[in-house]
Amino acid sequence: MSRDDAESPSLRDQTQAFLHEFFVKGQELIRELIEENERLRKSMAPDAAQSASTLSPTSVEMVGRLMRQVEELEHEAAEIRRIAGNVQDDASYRDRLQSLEDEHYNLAAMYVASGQFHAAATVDEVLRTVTEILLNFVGVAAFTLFVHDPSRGVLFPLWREGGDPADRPELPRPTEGPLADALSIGRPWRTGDAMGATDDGLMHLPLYAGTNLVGMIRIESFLPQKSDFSESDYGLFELISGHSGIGIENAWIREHAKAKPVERQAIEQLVGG
Amino acid sequence: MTRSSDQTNAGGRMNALVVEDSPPMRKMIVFALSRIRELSVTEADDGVDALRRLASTRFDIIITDINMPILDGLKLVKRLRADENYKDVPIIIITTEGAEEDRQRALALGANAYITKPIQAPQVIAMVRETLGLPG
Repeated sequence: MSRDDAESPSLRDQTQAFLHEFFVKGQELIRELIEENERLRKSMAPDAAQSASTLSPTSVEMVGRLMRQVEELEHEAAEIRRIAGNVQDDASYRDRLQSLEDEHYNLAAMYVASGQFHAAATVDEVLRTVTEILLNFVGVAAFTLFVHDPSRGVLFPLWREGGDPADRPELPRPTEGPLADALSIGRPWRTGDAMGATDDGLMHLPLYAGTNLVGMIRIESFLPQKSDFSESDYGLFELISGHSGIGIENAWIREHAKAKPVERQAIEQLVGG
Repeated sequence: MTRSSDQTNAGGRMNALVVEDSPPMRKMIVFALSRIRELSVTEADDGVDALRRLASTRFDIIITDINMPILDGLKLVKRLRADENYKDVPIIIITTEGAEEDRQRALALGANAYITKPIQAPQVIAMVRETLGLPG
C-alpha cells in the first residue's frame, strides 16, 4: 500500500460514512413523514383529542411500510459492506500478486546469474559475469576485484570496472577493522553479514571457495540512477560471493592442471569418494 | 503506437526484438517480456545481429541496449529511422546511461522511450504495454 493510500480514507471507510449519512437522512425523512401525517390527520379529524390518543390505521401502515423499507435498506447496506470488504481483499490480493511477481523476477535473476557462473570456464569469463551482474542487475558503476595471495598475505587488484586496476594498491590482508570483519567470516557472504563499508568502498564482498578466501570485491559507487542497496541485491551478493570464488579457483586449477583425457576407471574412483 | 493486426506473427502475437550483448541481461529482459502474452520475443546478440534479424522478420517493437560492440544501440536507432520499413516502429532503449543528456540524445535520434538499468520487470512490462497500446 502506498503512502497516498494510507493517508486517504479507504473504500470501506467511505462506504461506512455514506451509509451513516444515508440512514440519518432516512430517519429524518421518516420522522417528517410521521409528523406530516399526524398534522393532516388532526386537521381532518373533528375530534382531535380522541384522534390523538391512537394512530390511525393509515399511519400504522405507513410506519410499518417504512420500517420494512429500513430493514431492506439495512440488508442492502450489509451487502454493500460485504462487497466493499471484498474490494479491499482484492487490493490485498493485487499487492500479494505484485510481491510474488517481484520475488519471481529476483529468483529468475539469481537463476540466470548462477547459470552464467557455472558456464564460466576461464577467469575472464568469471570476471565478465561478475561485471554484468553488478552493472546490469545491481546498478554498480565502479568496483575493483582483488584476489587473495595467501603466500604473501595480500589482496591484489585484478580487475576494475570504472577505472584501471593498476590505480589500486595491493592491500595486506587486514586483521582488524570493518574490512577484516567482512573478510574473515570463513564462508561465502550471507545477507546480514558485515558489509565492510569503509571510506574506499560502499561494501567489501568476500569471495570464497568453500572456506578458502579467494578474493574480494570492493563496490565503489552506484550508477547515478541508483542510490542504495535493495533487498534483491543481497541475494545476488550471496551468489557472487560463493560462485565467483569457486569460479576463479576452478579456472585457476583448470589452467594449471595437466591435460588428461577422461578415463572410466579413474573417474569411477572419484564417485562416492 | 498500436500496430495493425497484419503485422502480428502466425500465432496472432506481436513480434518483439531484444538487442543486448550481455547474455544474463538479455535473458532477464526476455523473462520480463514473457509476462506479456501478446508478444513473441526474439533475441539479438548485438546491433549487427539485430540488422540481420530485422531483414528477415517484421518486428512490432525493438528493445535495445546502447553500449554494444561494432554497432551500438544509438547507431541502430539511426539506421532504423532511416529505413522506410522501420521508421515508425517503436524503439525502447534500456541502458546504464542514466544522464539526462543521454536520454535526450536517444529520444532525439528517434527512440520512443528510455529505461535505465538496473531494470525492474514491472517497469519494462508497463513501458512495452503502453508503447504498443496493449491493455494493462
